[in-house]
Amino acid sequence: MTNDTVQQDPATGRRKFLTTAGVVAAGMLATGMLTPAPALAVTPALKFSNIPGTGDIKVVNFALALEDLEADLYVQALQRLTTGGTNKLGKKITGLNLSPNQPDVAYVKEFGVVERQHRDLLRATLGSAAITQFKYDFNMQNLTRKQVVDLIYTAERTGVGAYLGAIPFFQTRTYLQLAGSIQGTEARHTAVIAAVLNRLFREGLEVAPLASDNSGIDRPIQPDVVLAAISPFIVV
Amino acid sequence: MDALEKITGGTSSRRSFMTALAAVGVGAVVASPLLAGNGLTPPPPATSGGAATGVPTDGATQFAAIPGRNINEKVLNFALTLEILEADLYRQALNLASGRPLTTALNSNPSSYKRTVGGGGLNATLTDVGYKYLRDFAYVEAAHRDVLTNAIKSGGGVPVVRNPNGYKFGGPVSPNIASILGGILPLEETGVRAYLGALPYITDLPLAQTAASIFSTEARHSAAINYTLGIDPGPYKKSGDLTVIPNQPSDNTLEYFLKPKTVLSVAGAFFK
Repeated sequence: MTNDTVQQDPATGRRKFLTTAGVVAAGMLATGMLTPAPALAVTPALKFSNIPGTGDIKVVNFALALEDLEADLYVQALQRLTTGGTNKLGKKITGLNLSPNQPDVAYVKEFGVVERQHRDLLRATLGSAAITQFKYDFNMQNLTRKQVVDLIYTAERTGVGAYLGAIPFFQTRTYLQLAGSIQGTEARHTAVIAAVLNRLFREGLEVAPLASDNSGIDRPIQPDVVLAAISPFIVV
Repeated sequence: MDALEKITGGTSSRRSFMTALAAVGVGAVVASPLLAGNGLTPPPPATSGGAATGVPTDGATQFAAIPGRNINEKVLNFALTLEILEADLYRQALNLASGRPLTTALNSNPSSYKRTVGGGGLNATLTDVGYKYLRDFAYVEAAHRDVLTNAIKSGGGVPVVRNPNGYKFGGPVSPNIASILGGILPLEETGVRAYLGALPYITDLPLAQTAASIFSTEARHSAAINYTLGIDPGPYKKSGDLTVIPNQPSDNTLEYFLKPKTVLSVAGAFFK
């Protein structure tokens, strides 16, 4: 499987997740079981112009939006892979009870801590200018082990491109090195998760772009494209 | 003689850089009393050329040894200096792992290479994966070198060229995949730190975007090699590393960086 094939999967997956979530919510509504309130993805998708702040602050808030999602994704993913839990929407996630020694479990746990630190660091950097914390529905309770790790991979990979795509929107270089220092860790996470997926599921992912792919250089993703990709997971 | 001396013809020593680093650079990034106990410290506003964050003002000093008509061209030539080194050592590494003389040029066909050495303790899967990385990354680093060379030329600048005496591994490397990857790893990890250290000197944001795009592939390579060798994928703190924020919560929260002069000094170990 090539990277390009995988790149297309998440879009399909996301649409499916949304549909499933909608059906489930409707079913619960019909039977009067609906607690808490219906979870609906933000529509229309967020755009960079919706991100609060101007100049550098806006860009850092964009980064915070990503890190906020990643941090919560890792929490829910670890719940799903291990002993289960409840997400911030009150949805119960049944655990797959995998051993903590499994490579996906170990790295999801380790990287989850890092993403939480990124989120908290950016929030502290922005202070009162920080974007509000969102809640996320990844349909986690219905994902297989492979789907969970695939989703983590997609999120990290999107993070790498998102930071690159955001750089030209900075007004100054004040946060350039900080952004780079986070982006590099997202790149490391992407490579390791790809290697884990190859090991567990023989996905045949490249850990880094080949020379034949954009001269072996990571590609930027425009902020609006990133926000369109993550909006289906954001619940309002 | 280190890389900086080769470029400047000067007498600067690696030891003096490391001493200076210990005295100033590293000292500057230990916890400040103002921030004690916080654990999550936002970077201070960039009002000075501090080593830790924001916009540095010591570009003239840091890139004094690098040719270029302006700071952006100097950063490109700095990056090219490293990419030429990386491409050459990967070429040698791939030759070593494929039973070819080290001097053999990179073949235009990647699939012409076949592994002739053992894993050196790696299992069969990781041996194959490690060899694939050597082969793939050899072409990637050559591509980075060519991209930077062309970028400098197309801007009307003069790109730096290969060290006439060539390059060598920083220590002994045995003909097995684990040892060869171990010989390559310091280059990649230094590359990550070099790009992150150079990034805030770039005054043109689209150019910074390009530099960061190469930087993150070096981070991917580093992590993949670490993973294959069964060590922490990183980032992990190495001697002399600088941090972007004063007291980061964990060792692996953020990438580390080195100042350009330090990088040139460290890279000297790989110059013949």
